[in-house]
Amino acid sequence: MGYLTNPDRLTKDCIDGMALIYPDRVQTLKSSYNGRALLHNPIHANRVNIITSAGGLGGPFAVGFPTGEDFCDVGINGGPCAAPSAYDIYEAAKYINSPHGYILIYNNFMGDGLNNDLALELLELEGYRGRLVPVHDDCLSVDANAPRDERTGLIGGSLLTTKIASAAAKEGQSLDEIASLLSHVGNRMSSLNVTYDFQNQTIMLGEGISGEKARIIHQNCFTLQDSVKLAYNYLYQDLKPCKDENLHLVVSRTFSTLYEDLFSFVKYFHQYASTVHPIKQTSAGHYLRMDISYGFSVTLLCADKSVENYLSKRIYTESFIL
Amino acid sequence: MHDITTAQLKSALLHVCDSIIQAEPMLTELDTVIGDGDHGIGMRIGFTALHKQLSVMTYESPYHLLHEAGMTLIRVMGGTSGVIFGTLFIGGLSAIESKESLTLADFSAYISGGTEAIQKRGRVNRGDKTMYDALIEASESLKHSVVEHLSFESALNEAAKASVCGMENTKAMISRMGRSKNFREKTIGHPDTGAVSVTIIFKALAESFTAEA
Repeated sequence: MGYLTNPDRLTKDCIDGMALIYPDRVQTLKSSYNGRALLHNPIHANRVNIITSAGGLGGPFAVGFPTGEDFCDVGINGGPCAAPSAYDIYEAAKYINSPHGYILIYNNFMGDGLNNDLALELLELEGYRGRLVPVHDDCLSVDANAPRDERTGLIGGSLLTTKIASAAAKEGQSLDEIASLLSHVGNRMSSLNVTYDFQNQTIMLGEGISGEKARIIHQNCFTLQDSVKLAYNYLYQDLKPCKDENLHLVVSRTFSTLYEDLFSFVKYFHQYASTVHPIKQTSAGHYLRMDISYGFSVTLLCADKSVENYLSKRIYTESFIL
Repeated sequence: MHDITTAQLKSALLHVCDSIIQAEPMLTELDTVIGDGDHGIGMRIGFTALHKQLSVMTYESPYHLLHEAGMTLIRVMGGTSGVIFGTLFIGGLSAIESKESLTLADFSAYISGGTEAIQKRGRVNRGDKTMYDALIEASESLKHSVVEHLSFESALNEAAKASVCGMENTKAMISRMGRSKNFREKTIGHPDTGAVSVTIIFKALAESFTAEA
């Protein structure tokens, strides 16, 4: 799939367009060199600010985040196939000028990590404070015995982390308190991609957003219910939820996946989960940029009492309900 | 040639920009095989912006020129390449602060500082199949040339050759960093794309100063 927009201008044009649609909710950074930051409107400089950044294989994935009320303060976007630049993160944070500091959330890919790291270094040189929060929820991005923090991130993990961080910031939590909370959340969250090969009647788990091959392939089953069981069981085994934890589900479809299949997947996931450990809250989105594959990105979060309070309010943004 | 001036350095950097921009299709093709295909595009965007800036600006010293070059790449490129190649330009600046022109020893110290900064920021080592494998060879070659009292043009030609050796070595390595690590054994036989870009930079620098000599 190609773009009609010039790829070099894709992110800026997309952000400018979104700012025209939601003038009451977002604002662009007029002085920005690249124009790849979208800020929530109004700015809340009187508390910790949440900056979520992402590139994405197919485009600016975090662009719609700041359209949500009480969600992300700034969404920073890279160009197609590229992590956002450190300078854009630094520039937006500097513009907000919060004395309370910044939580920098990003999916745990090398480019995103390096840029956020450099952005924080530039900010600290000017006296600002911040904490890096890499999201590492993709349980099939590394070998099974690899440390959890070596995993890369997926959409659901990024959304839930941003939601919890924003709610904690709104409550007045300090930078260190929010970073500690998010570290706990990161260890109780797991995601995987479920994709379908119609020609070979095959269900695949763990196909990467950059074309990495699936780690698990099932050739003897091909119904939606089969794929739900496979995904749930894999995530359940990875997380092993405790009795006092509530499960929160996020499902995002790839662009080539039918709208109807997304909601059917959610229905069967709930049905199957109710026999083991029921889902408390479900969110759905249309945000996964795997242009060729048909399927979903599925995330489960095990939330204990320390996290549950920050998940109760529903967030409505461009392209997803969380 | 004993020292290089700000104007000579600027001219050499313009040639580096042209070389990287011309190499975009090749870099993209290489990165598509074992990466996500963004390296060539990012490098083209960054070095096009740098070319545009260098063409209209004048600089007081090598420090200001190279500082602005690094910040431009960081500002414009994004991705892994923006930080890494930006760090290459700004990581060794302390070695040339207050210098009006650069001796080979100054330039070697500058490249060495950038190389160390990349190793620290990227947490990379020799053998990880990254641009560092080509860069460390070029950096060590420059240090050796200082000891051997080579001329600037000879030293840069040697550094360019050394970077090619480093890049060639990456063909036998398995990727451990970035998205290419997902391709594992399939990365054997292919050079690291960042390492290829390093060879283009040093080749262009060598060509510039050889032509000047």
